[in-house]
Amino acid sequence: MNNRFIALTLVILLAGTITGCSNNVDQLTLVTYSSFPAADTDLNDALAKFTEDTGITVNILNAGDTGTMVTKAVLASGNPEGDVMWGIDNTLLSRATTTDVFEPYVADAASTFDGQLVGLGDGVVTPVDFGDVCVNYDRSWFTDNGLEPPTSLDELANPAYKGLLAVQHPGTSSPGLAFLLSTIARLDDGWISYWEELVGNEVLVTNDWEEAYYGAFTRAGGDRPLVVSYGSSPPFEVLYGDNPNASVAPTGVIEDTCYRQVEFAGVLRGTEASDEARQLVDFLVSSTFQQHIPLNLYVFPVADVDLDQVFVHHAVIPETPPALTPTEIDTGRAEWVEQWIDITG
Amino acid sequence: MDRHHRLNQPPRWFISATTVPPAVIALGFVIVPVAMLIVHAISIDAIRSTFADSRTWEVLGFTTLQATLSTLATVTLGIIPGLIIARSDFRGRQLVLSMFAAVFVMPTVVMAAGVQALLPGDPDGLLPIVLAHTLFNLAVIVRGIAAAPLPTELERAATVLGARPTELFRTITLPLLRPTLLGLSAVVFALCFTSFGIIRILGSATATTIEVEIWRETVIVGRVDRGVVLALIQVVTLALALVVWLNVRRQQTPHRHGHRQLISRRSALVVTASCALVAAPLLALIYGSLTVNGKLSASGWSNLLDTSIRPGLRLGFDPAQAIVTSLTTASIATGFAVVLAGLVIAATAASPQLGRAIDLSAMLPLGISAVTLGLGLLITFDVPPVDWRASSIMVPLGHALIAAPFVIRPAIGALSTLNRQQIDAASTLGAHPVRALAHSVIPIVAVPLLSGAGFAAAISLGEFGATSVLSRSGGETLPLVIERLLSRTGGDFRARAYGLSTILASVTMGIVVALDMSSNRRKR
Repeated sequence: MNNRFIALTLVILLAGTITGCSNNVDQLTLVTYSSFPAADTDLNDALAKFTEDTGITVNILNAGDTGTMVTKAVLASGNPEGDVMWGIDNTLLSRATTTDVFEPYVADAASTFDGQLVGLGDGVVTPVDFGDVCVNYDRSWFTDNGLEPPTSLDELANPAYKGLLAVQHPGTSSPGLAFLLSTIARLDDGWISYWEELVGNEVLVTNDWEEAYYGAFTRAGGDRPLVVSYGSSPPFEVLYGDNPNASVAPTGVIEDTCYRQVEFAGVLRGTEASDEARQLVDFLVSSTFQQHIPLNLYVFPVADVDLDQVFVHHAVIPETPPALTPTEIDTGRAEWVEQWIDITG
Repeated sequence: MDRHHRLNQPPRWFISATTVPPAVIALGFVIVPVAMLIVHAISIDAIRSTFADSRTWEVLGFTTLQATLSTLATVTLGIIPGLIIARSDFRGRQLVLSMFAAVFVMPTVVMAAGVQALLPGDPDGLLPIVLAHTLFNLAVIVRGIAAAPLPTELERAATVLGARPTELFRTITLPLLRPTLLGLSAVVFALCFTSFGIIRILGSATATTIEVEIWRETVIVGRVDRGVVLALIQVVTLALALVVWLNVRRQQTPHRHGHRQLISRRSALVVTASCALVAAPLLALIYGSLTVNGKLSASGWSNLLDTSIRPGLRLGFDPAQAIVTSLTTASIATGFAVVLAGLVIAATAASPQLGRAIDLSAMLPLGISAVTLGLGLLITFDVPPVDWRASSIMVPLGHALIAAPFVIRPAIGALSTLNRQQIDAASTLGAHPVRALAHSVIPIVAVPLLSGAGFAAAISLGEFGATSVLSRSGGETLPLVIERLLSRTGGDFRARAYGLSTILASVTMGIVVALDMSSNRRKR
C-alpha cells in the first residue's frame, strides 16, 4: 500500500460524504446577511409565492454579517456563491461595484421609488429597503430628571447633556459608522471640531451596538439616556414591550441626527441563471414581498405599501436626510475613521 | 540506532496509514486554503505599507503583552486549585471540573458584560482583557493539571524530613509539574495571542490583537491584502514564541499515577474560592436570564423556545432547532477531532522522531486567523466537484480543526510515560510490533483522549468566530442564535439570550461530566 493510494481513498471518502450544491434553472440561491430569516416568517412565505408562480425554488444562503458577505462576494467575484444578493448597503456598495461583483440590473419598478435611493444604486443594483440610524433617548429618564431631551445634533455638544451620550466605534460598528457619516454629511469639515466638543462633553464610545443599547443605555440599567440606535427602535420597544397598544413609546428619536442606510439587491455576475435572477429581483421589490419587510427586517420598504399602525405612530422617518454617495464613503472612510480615532483616542 | 531496535519498529504501512490522513487534512483544509488566499491577495504594496505602519508593531506589542500577562495570571491562579483537585477526593469533584469547562463556552458578549460589571469605570483596556482571558482559560490549566496527577511519594518524604510547605512547592512540586505546566501554558498563550471575541468588546483602537486587526482590515476596511500580511505576521510570531517555549521543556519528567487523598480544610477553601471565581460569570448569566428591563421576570424562560414574538409575528429562527444543530455539530466535530488526534498519537508513538515536529505543527492551527482560513476555504473549494462553500460539513469540519490541538496535546504529553523498552521486549518475544505498541499506548492515552474529547465538544458548542465567517444554509448553531437575539431591540430577547446561554453552559457541563466519568472508570 502506498501513500498516494491512502490519500486518494480519503479524498474519495470525503467527497462521498459531502454533497455540493448545483444550480439548475428551477433553483436560485439568494445570498443574504445573517439576520435575514431562513424560514418560518412572512418573508419566507412570500418567497414560496414566488416559487408557486415561477416554479423556481429560492434557497437562502447565510453569508455572515453584511461586511463579511461583501468581502466574500468580492473574493468570489465572477464565480459567485449564489445568483442574487440581498442586503448590501450604501456604505459597502462601491467596494462591490469597483470589483464587478454585480451584473448591472435595476428592476423596472424602481422608477416609482424615491429617486435619491435609486440614484445611490448607480444603475447597478436596485434599492430594496432603507432605515435610519439616529440618536434615541429614554423618555422616562428625561422626565424624572426634569430635563428636556436635545432636539438637534448641535445640542448634543451642549454642557447640559454632559456625560449622557453613548455612541459606537465607527471602525467596528455599522451604526457607529453611520453616525460618524451623519456628522460629516451635515457639518462638512466642521465634523472634526464637533467631535472634539463631544469628547469634551464626555461621550462614551462602545465597540458595538449591543454594548451601547443593552449596556450603557439607561433603559438597560446603564447611565446614558442618549444612545445611537435606529429610527425604528421605538416602535419595536412598543411592539415587543409589555403593552403593544401604548400610545407613547418609551424611547424617542432625535430626527436631526439621523443618517439613512439603504440596502440593495443585485444579480451576481457569473450566475448561470441571469434571467431567473432578474425575475427574483423584480419579485423582491414587489408589494407581495415588500409589505413584510418592516416587521421582519426592522427597516422600511422602498415600494409604496401600507405600514403597520405601530410604525405610523412610533417610527421617525425623516423626509430626505443628507447623504454621501457610496464612492464618497468608500474613498473617505478609512481616513475619517483614523481621524476620528485621533480625536477620541 | 541498532539493527535490533529497527526490526521491532512498526512497519512502514502503519506509519503511512497514521501520518498521511492527518497530513492530507491539514494540507487540504488549512495550509492550501490559507496559501491560496495569500497568493490571491498579497501585494508588495501591502507588505510595504503594513510593515511601515507603526500601528502594526504597536498592535503586535499589545498582543504579546496581554497574552503574556493573561498566561501568567491564568497559571498563577490555576496551579494551586489544579493541584488540589488532582490529589483530592471529594464530593462534587466532577462538577467542579466541569464548571471550569462551562465557563470556557460562555458567549464572549456575556463574559465581557460580566467583567465590565466587576470593573466599573474601566470598561476597555488591558486589565479587563487580562481578567476575562484568565477566567476563560482557567479551565485549560486546572483541568490539565487535574488530568495529570503527580507522584506524591517525594513530597511526603520531604514533609517527613521537615520541609516547609513553600519550600516543598518550590523544590519538589513545581519541578515535577514543570513539563505539564509549560505545555498547558503554551496553549493558553496561543489562545490569548489570537483572542478575537473578547477583544472586539473589551479592546479599543490601541488595545487590540493582530487577530482583530486582521478582521478589521479584511471585513470592515476591505483591504484583504493587508489582512493576509497581518495573518502571516501573526502565525510567524506565534510559531517563534512556541518554538522557544516548547524547547524549554526538553527534559520530560515521567508521570506516574498519584494517589488521591481526602481533601483538607484549607484545600477545600482554595477550591471553593476558585469555584466562586468561575461561578461568578455563570451566576451573572442566570441572573441576566431572569431580568427584563432591569426588573425580575421569568418571561425570558417561559418564552425561551418560542419561534414567534406574538401571534402573527415570527422570530425567523428556532432556538430549539439551534440546540439540536449545536449538539449534532458538536458530535461530528468531536468525533472528527478524536479520530484525527488518534492518528496523530499513533504516529507519534510509532515514530518518536516525528513526535517533536507533530507536537509543534498540531499547535499551529491555533495561530491561523479564523477569518483568513474561512476566506481561504471560500476561494479554494469553489469549483465543482469541490464546490463546498455552503456545504453543511464545513462548520463541523472547521470546529474539528480548531479543537484538534486540544485533544492532541494532552495525549502527546501522556505519551512521554511510554515505556519503549517494554514494547521492544514484547516485540522481541514475538508480539507484532503494532500490537505491542497498541497494548502499551492505548491505556496511557485513553484518559487524556476522553478528557480532550470533552474539551473538543465544549469548544464546538461555544465556537463563534470561524462559524460566523463560513457560509451556511439552514441550521444555525446556538451561539449564533444567542448573538441574533442579543442584537434585537426591546422585549425579553436579552433574557432569552441569557437563558439559552445558561442552557449552553449546562449542556457543556453535562457532556464534560459524562466524558470525565467514563474516563475515570477506565482509569480504575
